[in-house]
Amino acid sequence: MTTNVKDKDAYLRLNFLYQAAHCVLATNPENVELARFYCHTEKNISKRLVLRQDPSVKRTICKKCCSLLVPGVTSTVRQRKCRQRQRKTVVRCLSCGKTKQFLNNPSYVLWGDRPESQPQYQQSQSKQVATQKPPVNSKTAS
Amino acid sequence: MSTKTPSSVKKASGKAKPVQIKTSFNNPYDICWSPLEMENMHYILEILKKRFKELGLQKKEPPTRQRRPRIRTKGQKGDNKDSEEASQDVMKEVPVESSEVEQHQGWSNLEVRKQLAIGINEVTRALEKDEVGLVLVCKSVKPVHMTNHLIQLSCSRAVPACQVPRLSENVSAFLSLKSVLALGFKRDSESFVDEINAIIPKVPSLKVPWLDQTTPQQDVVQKDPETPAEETVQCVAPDRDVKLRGSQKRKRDEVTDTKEDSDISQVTLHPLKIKRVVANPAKIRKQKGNKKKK
Repeated sequence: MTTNVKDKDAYLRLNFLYQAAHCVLATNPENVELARFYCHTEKNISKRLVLRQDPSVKRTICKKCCSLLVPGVTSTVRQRKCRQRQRKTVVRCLSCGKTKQFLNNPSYVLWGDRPESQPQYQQSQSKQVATQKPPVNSKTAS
Repeated sequence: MSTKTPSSVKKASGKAKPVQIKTSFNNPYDICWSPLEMENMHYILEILKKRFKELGLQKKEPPTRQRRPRIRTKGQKGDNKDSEEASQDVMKEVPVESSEVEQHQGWSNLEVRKQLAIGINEVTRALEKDEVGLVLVCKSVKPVHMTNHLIQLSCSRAVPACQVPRLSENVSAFLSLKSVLALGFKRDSESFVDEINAIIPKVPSLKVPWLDQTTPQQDVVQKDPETPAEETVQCVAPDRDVKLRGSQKRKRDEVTDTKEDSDISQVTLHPLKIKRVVANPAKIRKQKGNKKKK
């Protein structure tokens, strides 16, 4: 696995800011402002340099006020009904009131968690394709 | 060698486009339930079964009126009239029945029911109010994000919690409910004290990486910065936190002497995790360029 990633120092900075925000809330649960500032900075960095953040990170940051969403401390999580049989998980930010909704679909898997998204899978697929298709071009050429 | 789409391949070599890999900043923390051994799991389930059998706690739900499927045939008006009359008859029947059934409806033992928090929402609310002494969560939950919030909640309130596979299947049968994904025992419960005391030692301790950052690290700041990330961060972190405290203005040299900052300086920086993902070919994209604003 090559670790030649563009803007690695920016990723390190994102990493630090994210963990610092968690530590701030761990030591002082009422100091939401600082955690919000760190997450806001993190968002700005990724926006400026167009860095992709994993859904597991984005789901813990409020879209409106950029505060770090910790269930029980800065956010409430409830299961609600929608449309007869569907149930969704609703995360509500306590500081701004913005909600995040996740539909409870048991068969849904995020693209990043699926095995097809991994580059090793793609390489193995291309190898299989290369071994399976021999004489197609010879026919078309002739 | 296979030629796929002729438009994308311009070179004569006939190679397909290199697969583009996206990198994304991944969560450094891995928040998950601690694994429970099989023996403990069976033990817990058996205890719960016995207790619920003794108490005989059950819920009787009111008879729900089945929605009649609307059969659309020729001569709809006639059918509609018939169905309206039928529904009116059913309406008259149901209130008569419900008044008789009301006495047997609901929970058989209200006092015991109040000592339990059944269901994810109830357990979450009780945890937020800090009323719960023990939390049991079903492991066979799909999707997983339905109960993931309970990990951090129970860890912050220092409440033992564990994921028991097949909790829903076993317990819901006894309580005559559809599914029980989360079960909480309140702190001041009288009828479940023995069970709670028996289960708690079996429950593995929950660990959330950023909450339990009190790993003792001696001589941290005094080390030379050989390893890059960790040490430099620990030098910076106490400095920043020192600034936050405002009134206590201290220099870097004095950080090692203070005991108050020792907790903060023991916090370690988790290594950077980057996820490498291939672009999704089936991604739904918005079509731009067709509609232009005048």
